[in-house]
Amino acid sequence: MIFSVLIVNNRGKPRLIKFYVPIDEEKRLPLVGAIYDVVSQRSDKMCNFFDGNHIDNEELKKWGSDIKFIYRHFATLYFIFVVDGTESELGMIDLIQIFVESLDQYFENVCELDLIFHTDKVHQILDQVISGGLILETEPQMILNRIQEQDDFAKKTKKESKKKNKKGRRK
Amino acid sequence: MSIKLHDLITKVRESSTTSGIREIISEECVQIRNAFRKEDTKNRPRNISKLIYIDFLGFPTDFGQLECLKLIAHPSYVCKRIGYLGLSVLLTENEEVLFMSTNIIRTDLASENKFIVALALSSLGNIGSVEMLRDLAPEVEKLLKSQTAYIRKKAALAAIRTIRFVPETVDRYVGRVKSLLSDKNHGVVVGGLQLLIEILKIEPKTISEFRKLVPGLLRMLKSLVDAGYAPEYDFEGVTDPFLQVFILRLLRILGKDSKKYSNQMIDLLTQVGTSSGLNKNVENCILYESVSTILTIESPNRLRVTAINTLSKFLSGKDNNMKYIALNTLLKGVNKDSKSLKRHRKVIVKCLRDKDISIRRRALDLVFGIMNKKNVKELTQELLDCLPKAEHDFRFDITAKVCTAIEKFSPDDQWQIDTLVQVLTIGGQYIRDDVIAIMTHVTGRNQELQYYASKKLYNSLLDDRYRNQKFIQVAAWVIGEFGDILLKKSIEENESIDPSQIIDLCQIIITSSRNEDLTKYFILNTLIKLSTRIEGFNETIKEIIKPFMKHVNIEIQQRACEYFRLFEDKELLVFSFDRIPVKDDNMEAQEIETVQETTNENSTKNTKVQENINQQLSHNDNQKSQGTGMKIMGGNNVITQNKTQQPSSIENLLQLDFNSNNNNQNVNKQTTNIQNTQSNQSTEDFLSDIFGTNNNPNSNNTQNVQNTKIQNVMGILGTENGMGTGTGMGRGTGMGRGTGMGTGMGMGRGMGMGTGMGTGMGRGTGMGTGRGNVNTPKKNPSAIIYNQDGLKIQMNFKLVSVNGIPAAMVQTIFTNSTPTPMTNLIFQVAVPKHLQVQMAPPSSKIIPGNNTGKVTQTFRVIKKQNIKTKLTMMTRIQYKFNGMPVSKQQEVKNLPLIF
Repeated sequence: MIFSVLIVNNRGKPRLIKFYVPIDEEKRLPLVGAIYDVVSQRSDKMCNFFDGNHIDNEELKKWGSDIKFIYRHFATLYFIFVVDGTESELGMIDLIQIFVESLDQYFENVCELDLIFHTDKVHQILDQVISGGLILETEPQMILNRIQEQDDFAKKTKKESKKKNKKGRRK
Repeated sequence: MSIKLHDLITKVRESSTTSGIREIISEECVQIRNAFRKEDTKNRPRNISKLIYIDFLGFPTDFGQLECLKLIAHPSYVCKRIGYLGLSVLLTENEEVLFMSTNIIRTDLASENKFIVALALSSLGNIGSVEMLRDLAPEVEKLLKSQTAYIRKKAALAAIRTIRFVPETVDRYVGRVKSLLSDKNHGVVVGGLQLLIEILKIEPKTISEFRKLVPGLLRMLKSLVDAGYAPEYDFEGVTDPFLQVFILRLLRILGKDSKKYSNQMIDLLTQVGTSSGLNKNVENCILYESVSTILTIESPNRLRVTAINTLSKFLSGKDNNMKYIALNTLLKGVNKDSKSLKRHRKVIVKCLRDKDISIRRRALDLVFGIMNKKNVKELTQELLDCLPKAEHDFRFDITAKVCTAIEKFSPDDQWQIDTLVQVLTIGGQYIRDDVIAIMTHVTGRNQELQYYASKKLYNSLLDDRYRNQKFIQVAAWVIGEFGDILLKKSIEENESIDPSQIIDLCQIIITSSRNEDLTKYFILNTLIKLSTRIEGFNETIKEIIKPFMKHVNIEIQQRACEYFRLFEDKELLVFSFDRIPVKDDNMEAQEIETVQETTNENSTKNTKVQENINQQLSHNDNQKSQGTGMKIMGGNNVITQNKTQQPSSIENLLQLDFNSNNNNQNVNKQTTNIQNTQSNQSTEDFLSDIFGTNNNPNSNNTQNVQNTKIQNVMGILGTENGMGTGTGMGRGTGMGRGTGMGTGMGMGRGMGMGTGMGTGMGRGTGMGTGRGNVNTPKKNPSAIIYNQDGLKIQMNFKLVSVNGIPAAMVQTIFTNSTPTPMTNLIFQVAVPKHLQVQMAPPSSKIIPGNNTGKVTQTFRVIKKQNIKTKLTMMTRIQYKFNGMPVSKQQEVKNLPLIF
């Protein structure tokens, strides 16, 4: 099970916070901070995993004893998945890759600013990859198609409703 | 006027200070609230988007939750989309709002528009609460058959959440899941596999049914492995790796503990598990999953060896991820494959020196996993070699593992001592507290090594490099305890050590400001012990101790005063600091059982413990005031009588304790026992006198005595807190000096180290506040917490140590004085937040009437933080009396226990 997906930049500013388990609002940022502290101290040559039981955080302990962080570092951003022992570590690395590729294609060379100004889009894309902490789709092209379909449909309904409004006004 | 989300973000980003951001946000929140109040439907989606952003910044947004509901209830897809997003981000599943959303989601699930259905399903899968999932289970089940693959997939994931939260719905999906596995769409199959794995977790009985799927799964896997380039599912040259991973994972579950189905898998697993990928992450991922599967199922030995060799190849490779994974996997197979692992020891040990802490931690776990009596010497040495270079946190991990290894796998005592000294000298400051106990234990047990250990520690102590506190403490204890042996044997071996050198060294340590106060307690003890073990240094030692009588630390001051006074009475001094008797390995276990089995009549173990005590005490029999000492400890009213019967009074008292706990039948036996050991007629009479008065099995006093006594056994035998945990015993008795000394002494002796010398000695009052090096007061108080309607609940408290933090072991005894038994007994305890309680089940759920028996239930109270605290708790007792349920709740305060 995936507990959380985080994107944090090099300076520790979160760019995406998504939890798949309930967590109190005021506990979210401290947890993200604690995870960032560990991850940011690791050099890029080290492995992409870190055990959760060496981080002193009460929320983490609630999730279980075999919590792991699987993260990847791309340019200015850390992509961090918090998972338990039932997920394959290497599989998660691929999943991060898939998520990033999808973002990259959607935003055409994604950069940090895209994530800041389009939080809702990032959430929507993530929702196509992971649902309720489980893997939903693993094919970037499929993910994009889905988002595209939705966007198109949204535009269509918007136009329709505008037309309706206009008609309504004429009447 | 509502600004756009984009403008809000720009505004926030332009503000450089946190307070600036807070101002912008609170201003914006006011705007949004106003818009909500005015039912501004046009800007609602935008406002929710803004709230998502504001929530992300960490500001409260709960006022937006109802608005999300309004959005998802809106017919427009655009509104729904943002509404559902808002719902999943702003809400937690505990909120009532969720309950209100159930009906809207139900409508959306039935929508003809697949996008809307997808939104509703995602939302259910992300945030569905128990009630919601239970209500909507039929809808989800229906959607598993949807025309759209995309919906089927989402429904599968929503189904997983449903059975996770509402396990009784699992039957709905057992029949349905097979059709998902034969779906044309790979994504749906992945969903189906995940659902199946979840079903097996919740309903393991279904495994025999699902094992029939194995051939089909193998066919599917084979077609994926053999498949050429399939653009639709290709991921870095591998066909749908996630599907392969999930199939392998399911096979692992299905093949476990089944020879038959494992055999079916072997051929394909051999093919996948021995392929030479090793380049791309994806290939490794599949390889690793298949290796895990091989190690989990019943595979033949040669395949296991190949799998382990593959992992070992990863270990020596350059890819850090693979190293981590390999160590992780090997750790799982450590029990089954210890033989084949042996060959790879070198590679594993090498990982201990990896640059990456994640890998080092795994390697440490694995090294410890493969440790046994044969290789413990080499492996421990490897661990110790890593110690000096390791970082702060990791050192604690290493020393902990080394200490456990020393205790658990030690091939011989000398190695144990050597390794202990080594770990103490190089990593003493990172070591857990009970290392001292290990040392006292091994030196106590093996007399031949007492000289060896003391000499080794003494020599290391002379070396300036090793000056960490733990090490000094252990060395101080050993040198103090075996100082005479050290000197005597060193002369025999012509390496004579000058006694004055030892004393000088102690002086240097105790006067150095670099050393902790705790270390100074140890040195004071060493000095006073040496005064009894080495001739002719009493005056020097007195001079050293003297300045500490005015020390700012009250504990040091007290000890110094007590010890200084002790010089006045040589006999007492020698007696008090006599060598600590060897601890019997089995004692600890016995001790625990004794406490638990107090109701057990005629327990042989009781007798054993008691014999031990007898022996112990008869050793001190000639001490005139000993008996008084024991009495005061118990706080018993027998004191006055005992005064006249001093020589054998201890035995009396001891017998009494046991008798009062065992029942009448036991009396004769016990009395005979006394006759045998003491053949003292008058004692017997005396005993029966006292016994007559104290026969009530519930007597608070006697319970008390008994517990205290057992504690003493612990002390005498120098168990865990081998450094002589002194205790607070008898309170100010105000007896004359003679008795006073006796009191203190009895205790001091009993506590194993003799630090518990009566403080009040000579002062006349405030007697016997014995203190130990380790700050656990070992009193065993008890209290009656409840006595109503014939039900009496008594609690006996005992202090134990959990991971070095004192904890309270509470034995609760229920008795029933009414003629009717009480049934269905449930006893619950709640403690304040800083404490934690662990309950054992009660000995019985029925309390027999007429006081004919008792029920005991033991629980443990652990502190989350090591702060001295008073034990308070909330108790609830429920039972049935004459068929009527009774429930009582009460707060228990003022318990006689501080820990």
